[in-house]
Amino acid sequence: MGKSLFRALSGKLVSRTERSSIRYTVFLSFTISAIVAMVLTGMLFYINFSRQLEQTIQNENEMLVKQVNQSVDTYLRDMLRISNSIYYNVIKNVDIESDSIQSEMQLLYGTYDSYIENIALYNAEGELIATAPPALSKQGVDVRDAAWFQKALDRAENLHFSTPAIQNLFVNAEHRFLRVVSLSSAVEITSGKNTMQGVLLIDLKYNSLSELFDHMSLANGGYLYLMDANGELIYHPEQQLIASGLAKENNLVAATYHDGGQMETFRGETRSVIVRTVGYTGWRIVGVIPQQGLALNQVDNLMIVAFILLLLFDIVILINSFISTKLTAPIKHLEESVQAVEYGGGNTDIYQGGSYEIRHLGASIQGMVDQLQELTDDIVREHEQKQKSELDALQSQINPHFLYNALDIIVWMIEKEQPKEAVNIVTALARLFRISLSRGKNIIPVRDEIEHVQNYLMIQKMRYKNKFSYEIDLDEAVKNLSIIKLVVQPLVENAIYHGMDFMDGDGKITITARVVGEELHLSVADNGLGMKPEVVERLLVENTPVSKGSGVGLKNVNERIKLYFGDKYGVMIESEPDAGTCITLILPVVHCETEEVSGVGEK
Amino acid sequence: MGKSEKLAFISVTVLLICLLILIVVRVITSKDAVRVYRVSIITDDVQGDYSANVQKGLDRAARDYNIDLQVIALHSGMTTEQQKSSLERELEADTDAIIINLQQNPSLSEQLDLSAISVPIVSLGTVWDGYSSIRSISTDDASMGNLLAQEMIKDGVTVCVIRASLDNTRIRLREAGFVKTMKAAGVAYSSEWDPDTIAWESIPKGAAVAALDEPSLEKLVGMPVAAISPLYGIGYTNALLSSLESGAIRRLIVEDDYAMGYLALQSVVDAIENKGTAHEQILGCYVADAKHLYQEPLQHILFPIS
Repeated sequence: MGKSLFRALSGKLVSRTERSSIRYTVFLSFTISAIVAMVLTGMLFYINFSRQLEQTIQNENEMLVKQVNQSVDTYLRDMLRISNSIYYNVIKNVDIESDSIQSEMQLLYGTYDSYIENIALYNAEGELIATAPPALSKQGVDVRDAAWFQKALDRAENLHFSTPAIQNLFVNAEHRFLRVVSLSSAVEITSGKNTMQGVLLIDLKYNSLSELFDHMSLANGGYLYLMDANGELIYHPEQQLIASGLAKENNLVAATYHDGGQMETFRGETRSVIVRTVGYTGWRIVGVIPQQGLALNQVDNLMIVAFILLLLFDIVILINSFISTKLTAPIKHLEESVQAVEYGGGNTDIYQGGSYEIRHLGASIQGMVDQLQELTDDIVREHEQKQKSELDALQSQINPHFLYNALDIIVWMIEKEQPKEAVNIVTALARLFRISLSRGKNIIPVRDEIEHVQNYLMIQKMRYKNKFSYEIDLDEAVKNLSIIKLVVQPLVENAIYHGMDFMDGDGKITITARVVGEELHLSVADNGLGMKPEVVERLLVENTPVSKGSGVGLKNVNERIKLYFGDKYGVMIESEPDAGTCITLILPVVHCETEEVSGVGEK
Repeated sequence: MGKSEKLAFISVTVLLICLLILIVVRVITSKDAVRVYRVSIITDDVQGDYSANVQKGLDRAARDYNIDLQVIALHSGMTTEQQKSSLERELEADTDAIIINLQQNPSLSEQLDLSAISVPIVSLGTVWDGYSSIRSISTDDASMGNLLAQEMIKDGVTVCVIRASLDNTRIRLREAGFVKTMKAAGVAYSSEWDPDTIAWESIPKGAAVAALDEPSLEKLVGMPVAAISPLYGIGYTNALLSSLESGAIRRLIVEDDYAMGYLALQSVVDAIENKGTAHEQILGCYVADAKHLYQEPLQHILFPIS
């Protein structure tokens, strides 16, 4: 599922980048890479920092718990020392039968009264032997029922600390009820020659113990509490609230924990708990730190991290946009210049800037374009050359054929002793060739072209023995217009060969030239056999086989006109079977101011 | 910059601004979260042990909830009218909430017009009838009277005298609860309101005496009747507890003053923050005797750790 989703996403991304610009791809790649790197780095940093912070807080808390443990331990050891001091320095040295220990106890009490509420010595029967400060025992109170008394006698080798309780031993005139921690121990009391067992009680002021905790707090709302080995609370910052049922503590469960740190969930709250056992008493100090205070995973911290990441994203977008633009600008320019070459317009300069690779690429493309241009020029040149050669060949095709016929006529006339006609023919032939040559020009005035046709007609009329007549009707205005050389003669030739050939002396060829609008219309009409429409349609179509080769000249004329003047111009054929044919050359009106119409034919 | 880049940049910027606004709002609201409330407590019982333990609870709650607590004392030397005007002056003062703790003269509250007070009011010890908007933390006085009667009946009391030096709503409720139970049990009783003027001779020797308030019980402990009649009472002071321990008083019905003080401020905070907690909180009452005086829960109720 995951793999296929990843594949689909990556496929989509690749497909998209393939369709996008290189700049966008660079930007997207850089941005995604940067963001992934930032997020990963940020996460690693965050996790690492969180762990370190947690560890630091944990260490600090453990250190604090340890310090408090030491303070409590010192306090308890001090109390033990006081107890031992009373025992060994006072009780052991005194015979209660003869001496009073009251004054020595009072002296010690005076030294430690900031910690001690009362010092009392009882015999094994629970009778009060001495007390400091002096006090009266409460009526009806039997200390033998008290736990501290029983523990002291049961385990005489130990000193015993009780949990805090309201003292219930002495009459207090001010009706004060004192909260104390009782330190009891079995002692040997000397009475005359006998020794007897007794119990030394030191009631420690609860405040002197609680003060050790009062100003201690752990990080982020953490707190410390003290309990005995059974989990009974000795000190807790909310002890009274717990007793009143207004707060709860997990002390009974914590009593089962081993020393050290551990996690617990109490009333839906995850907390780090540090437990440390106080020496001698078995009491346990518990440090509680809400997990929320330990970790960096608070909403505020996460929001700040998210804010920083987003800010970096924004900066990354800006920087990547700038970098991708900068990197891909030469490619863009290169692409634009290649596109300009592609679309034509004459500009063949290829951009050659930017980095080494782009410059190199530009130079290579420029070389290719130049080569291409040269090749194209060569091809055009060759094509033109070929066309010219073809035209020249066509022209040269006309001349030998015609020359043969003309010379045949001349021979014939000389044989028939018609020298005058022969001279006329020779003159016409000479003039015809002179115009054909036209000093190599391709464009000549209409009058020359018509004169050429007249000479041709005169020769052909001689040849065909006046089987046809002809008429030339020219506007004066057209005589000085330009025309491609030798385009009328093939039409006349066609009219004679295909129109007049089967006529019997009444054939007529009419040549007219008019300016129609911006065009010169030059028509060659005959009253010959005419053609069917389908024949007419095929005449100018390329590669169409024409019977008897009659369409070749017409096609050549049409192509030459189009070649010189464009597709707009050419040949128009009108023909009707048994009525005749009229072929019109449509040419642009170009005045023959110069002898050659330069540029027009260079298309 | 392309269209997609602009879109990405603008989107991230918008997110950034939203996040910034959120952070600022959180900073501002977190400042509000540690706001210190100013609460005035008006009390006519500043010297009694009751007030001392209530005060411990109040102090603890003040620390927990960041409350600046100001105690306005209505001295016993003041007339009711003076107390009333003093109280009214305080009600008009600039505080976030007011706690009224009238133990000596709870009926004073009945004379006040609280309709114009806009700040939350919490009554300590008494329920103010007719003011549903006023929160209260109290012990059911009728239950206390009832419990006292039950304890006396349990001890085999056949004749009893009810004593009270104060005449107010709370005492009346205690009396009602006490009398109801006694009547049901068929125990003969008589009600007395002035310990100094009572004709003790007319009361059968050994008849138990029940005091419905601390002052009358303290008076009784010092009177000769204490030597011949078992004493019972409602409420406690350290002196009364000493008497209980010494046997001068047989039983006391006590309430958790510390919890009452703590809950009063908690209720104040709930009221200020418009939390939908209960407007009327009634706490339980306990029987104290010499045997159980130093045992839990009495030890913590009577001698709270401050």
